[in-house]
Amino acid sequence: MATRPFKRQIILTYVVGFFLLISLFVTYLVWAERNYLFNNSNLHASALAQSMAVSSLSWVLANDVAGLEEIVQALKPYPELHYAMVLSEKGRVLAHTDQTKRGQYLTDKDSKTLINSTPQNRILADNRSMIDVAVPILLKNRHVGWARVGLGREQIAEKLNTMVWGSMIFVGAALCFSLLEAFAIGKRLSRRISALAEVTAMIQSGERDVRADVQGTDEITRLAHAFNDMLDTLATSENRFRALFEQAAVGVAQVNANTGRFVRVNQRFCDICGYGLAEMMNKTLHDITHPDDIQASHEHMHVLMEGKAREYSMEKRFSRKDGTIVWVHLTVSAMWSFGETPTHHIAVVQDITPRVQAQEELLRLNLDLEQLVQKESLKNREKDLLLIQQSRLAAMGEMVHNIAHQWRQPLNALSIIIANIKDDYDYGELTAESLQESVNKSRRLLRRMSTTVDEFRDFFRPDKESCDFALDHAVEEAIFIIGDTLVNNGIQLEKKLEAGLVGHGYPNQLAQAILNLLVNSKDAILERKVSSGKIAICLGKSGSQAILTVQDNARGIDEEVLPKIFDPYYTTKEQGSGIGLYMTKMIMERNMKGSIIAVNHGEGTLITLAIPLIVA
Amino acid sequence: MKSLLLMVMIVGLVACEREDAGKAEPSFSHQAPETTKDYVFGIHPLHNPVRLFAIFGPLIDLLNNSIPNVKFRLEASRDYDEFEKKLYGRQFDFALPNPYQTIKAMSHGYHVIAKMGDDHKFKGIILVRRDSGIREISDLKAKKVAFPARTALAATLMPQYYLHTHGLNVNRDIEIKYVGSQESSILNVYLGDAAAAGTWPLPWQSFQQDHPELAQELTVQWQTETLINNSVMARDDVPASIAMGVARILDSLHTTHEGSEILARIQLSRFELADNSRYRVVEKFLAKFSKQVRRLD
Repeated sequence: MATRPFKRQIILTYVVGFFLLISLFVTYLVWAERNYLFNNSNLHASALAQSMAVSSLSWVLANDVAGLEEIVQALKPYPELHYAMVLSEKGRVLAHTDQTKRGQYLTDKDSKTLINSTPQNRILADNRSMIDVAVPILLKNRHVGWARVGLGREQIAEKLNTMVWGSMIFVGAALCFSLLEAFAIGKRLSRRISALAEVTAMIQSGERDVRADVQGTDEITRLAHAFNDMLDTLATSENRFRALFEQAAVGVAQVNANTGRFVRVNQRFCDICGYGLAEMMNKTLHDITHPDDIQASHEHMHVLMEGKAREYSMEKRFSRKDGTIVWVHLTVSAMWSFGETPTHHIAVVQDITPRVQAQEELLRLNLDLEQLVQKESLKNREKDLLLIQQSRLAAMGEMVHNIAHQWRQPLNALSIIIANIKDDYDYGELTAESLQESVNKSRRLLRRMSTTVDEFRDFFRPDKESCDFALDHAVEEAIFIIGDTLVNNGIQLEKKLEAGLVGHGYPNQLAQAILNLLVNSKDAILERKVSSGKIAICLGKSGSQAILTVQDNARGIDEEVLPKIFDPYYTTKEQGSGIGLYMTKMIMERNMKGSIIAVNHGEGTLITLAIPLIVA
Repeated sequence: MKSLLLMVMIVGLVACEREDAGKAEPSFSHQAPETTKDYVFGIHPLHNPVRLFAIFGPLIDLLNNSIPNVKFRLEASRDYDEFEKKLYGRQFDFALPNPYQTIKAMSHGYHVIAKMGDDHKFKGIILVRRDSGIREISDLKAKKVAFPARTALAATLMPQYYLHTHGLNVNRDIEIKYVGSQESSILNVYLGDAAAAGTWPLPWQSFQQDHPELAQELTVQWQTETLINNSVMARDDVPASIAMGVARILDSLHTTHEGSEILARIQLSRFELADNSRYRVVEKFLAKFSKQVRRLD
């Protein structure tokens, strides 16, 4: 780009501005003078025509061309009069300063337009050479003709020409004066700025230590000082940058965008590639790229050169001078702005060979581990099969144990019945009725035992049908089983059952659950040797639920034990299996959709069952 | 920058120029544009041209509105000489001359188609200033007497005949001053430039209306016998239909409201149809005048 010296610009701006100002001023003066002269000429022409119209009225009415001629000829000496004429309303010349025109008709376009127009003052021509004015001759409203005057403007034009030439000379003189003044101002201003420009040029040519030496107190001196400060700051900044570049922990290189050749590289970059600095200057990015990564590198570079991205990053391999491979993380950034022609890239590389090697090791370890896991998984699967088998056996054993547990009471009862039959027989008190009664009781016990087996089987079979049933009957079933046992052990049973409460679920399971509670109370009373054992069982209604409570006086359960009593296989009895209360809870929650809680209350333990009622 | 400088200079110079410089002056032709036929209606100088147009303009408008395809144009004349020059030069298609001019125009191809009524008003009157002390005709001896024109019948010939036949030789005893128009004649006596002035009732009435304060200074000292009023004549090349049309319109003027208003302006009761024979009385008077007073051209 061509440079324009500051001095020249100052001179040019000053002279052009001055010239424009003076020219506009002079032009305005000429324009104003011209308007004044032209308007004056208009007024004269209009006044002449008006006067002629008034004085010629009578002569026009009389068609007295001689009289009109006198009037018109009287105007002849008027300066610059081109013509004066009186026209009939039809455009016939009644009188004219040029007598040869008298009696003729006007034929030009403007005149014809005038003749056909409404009678009012009209300017037919208003130009540099003349003013042509027509005034209607009127008798009141009767239009009888036109008075028309044409005044020349040659003198005005001559006057204006003189004025224009004078103005141009004046403008020329002013221009010369402004030129001289502009030179003086430009020289004064540009001297110091030139000094600054020289310093700038020297710095540009590489002399970084040179500084501007401008003395004074004006703005240019301040500018020079600021310029020197800026150079100092730039020098400091450049040193920092150089140190940053040279001492960076990563490799940094400036690469020619068009040739791919390295323009500048730091030592770290050389170390990574294994080449010396001079050798690197003769290399390109392509030269040191591993053949397997060239294609990917080209694709990334293409995107960058197209301006679709400002930078790209990739992990690739460089081929070192010694033939070894080094893995690097490379980031290449554009050093040109969007829309500019690509000039240089900045490439930053980081040696990631250790990380890559670690990753490869990790990969190998993962592979080994996977094989190990597969092996262990196979073993676990075999263990699982064994556990499943054991689980099945445990479930079966649990069921047998439960049945045995449930059978223990009926078997005791049967034992007692049989003992009673024997006693009755020994003491001769066996009658057919008592025998029949014992047989009936025995049968009921046996049926109960058989039912227990079915119910335990059903308990473990989820598809057993549920039904609506009277809750008090289930309680009675449980009492039936344990009633004799309680009597034999001197335990008093108090029952208070509200009839008509219907629940939904499994009546036999509920009976078993209640039986478990009664058995536990009985065992606790016997174990703790309570002198007058007592169990109270109540059934009542509370809202939409039936509430069944079992309260004993066996001095309760230890607070530490209380939270665990519903856990499976948890028992405090020597012969206990830890199944009873667990099963009771399961029956209440899973099959009766109810709940069970146990607290120490009064002299013993209070178990409360809540069972949803069926709405009638 | 160079183009800017050039532009400024051009603007400066052009600003001094006129946009339509050098417009041509008007052009002329002897060829008249095609228009409808104009019939020029000349009226002898009963009044000055402006007043004449004010009075007779509506009559011409009426003719233009009543007769299609032709146009009538009123033309005044600055004085009797000019009027007669045009009349005898056959410049008028229609004319309203005084009776004397009527007789003369007959020999120039005009014929009477109508005449103004109110013949009793057609007489000469002689005005004097009230303060002049002139009571008898003999008082005018050796004094100036103003008349409009040599050929004005009612205003000049009839008063001169009257004075001549009443003891004053107008050719010798008085100084006759022809002043060009009726109004000038009246103003001459008012201003004292003449001891008496000949005129006739129509302009005198107009003067009384227009200048009552001046008219008060004057008095009609003598008046002549009456004669026939002014005629309306058509040139012999005017189509008879148009000439008759004009005559009929004039004759019926007093029968319409618009016509009556026109007649009121003229201070006339009516126009009436007439022909050349009606003006033989004028010929007789002129013969008598020529014989007794002075010879007429």
